[in-house]
Amino acid sequence: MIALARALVRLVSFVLLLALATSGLAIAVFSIEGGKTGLSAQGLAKLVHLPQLRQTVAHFLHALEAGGSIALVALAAGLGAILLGLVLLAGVVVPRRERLLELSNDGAGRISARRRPLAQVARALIEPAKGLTEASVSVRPRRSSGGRVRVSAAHTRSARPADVEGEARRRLEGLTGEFKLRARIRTHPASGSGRAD
Amino acid sequence: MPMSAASDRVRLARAALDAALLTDGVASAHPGFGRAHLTSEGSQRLEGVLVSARADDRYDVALALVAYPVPLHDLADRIRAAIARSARASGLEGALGEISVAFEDVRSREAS
Repeated sequence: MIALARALVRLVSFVLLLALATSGLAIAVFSIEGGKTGLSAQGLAKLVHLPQLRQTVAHFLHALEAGGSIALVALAAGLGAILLGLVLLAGVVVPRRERLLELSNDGAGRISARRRPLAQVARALIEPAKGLTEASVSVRPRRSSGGRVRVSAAHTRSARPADVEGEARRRLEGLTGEFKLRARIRTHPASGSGRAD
Repeated sequence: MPMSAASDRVRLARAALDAALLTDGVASAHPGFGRAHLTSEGSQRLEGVLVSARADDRYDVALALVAYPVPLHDLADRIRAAIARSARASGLEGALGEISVAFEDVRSREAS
């Protein structure tokens, strides 16, 4: 959601800056001459049909004052604009999720790791767990520090899920115990796995 | 014109990088995100280490490394201890500040 808001902020910023630059250029060019025609400010106003636009806006604003369905549309549009503003604010204000996950930060310095290597280490640690046939690991950092390690572990049909989960959790302690990481382990029987345990 | 001796900052960077790379569990150095972990030494560049001066005449060391799949906290502790030993051996123990370690990637031992 925040990633979407951030992308929206970038898009809106780009469009607004482009519009601002284009307007500035047009005004600069149409300030070369004076008078009512040619490269003059009034010439630009005529070119972009400003008088007609003023009339259209005046009609629209007048219609807004009336009750009925148009007022409801205006209300919905106003609420939509507020919502869009809040989304854009969230995109600017909410801090970016750190790609480098801070594992610890004591007086001696900071220890950090990227998500992918952390997931690889977690997988390497739990792979020797008895009864486990396959494990997929993802690491999701918190916005402040630390994060969550999610493990999906497939096990043989003869293995007890609780045993597999317990051993995987114990093996992960080398990673989670010292750092600000929480492990979430889900086990499931391996599809079509043999009974070779 | 004689070449000037390396500064404490550069000597510390070299000592820290060498010590880290000799630690069991470290595969190689990494330039870091945006190649931020670089220390220039004349025309040479030490990749994977950034040493920054502090207000108290000491230097903070930041390393970016590629590790083998081993418990990372234990590895970081061993790297810090190795750097402290190396700094002491080089007469730079008074210049050493915080040591930060970033694990940028993991490589399997078979791939090395």
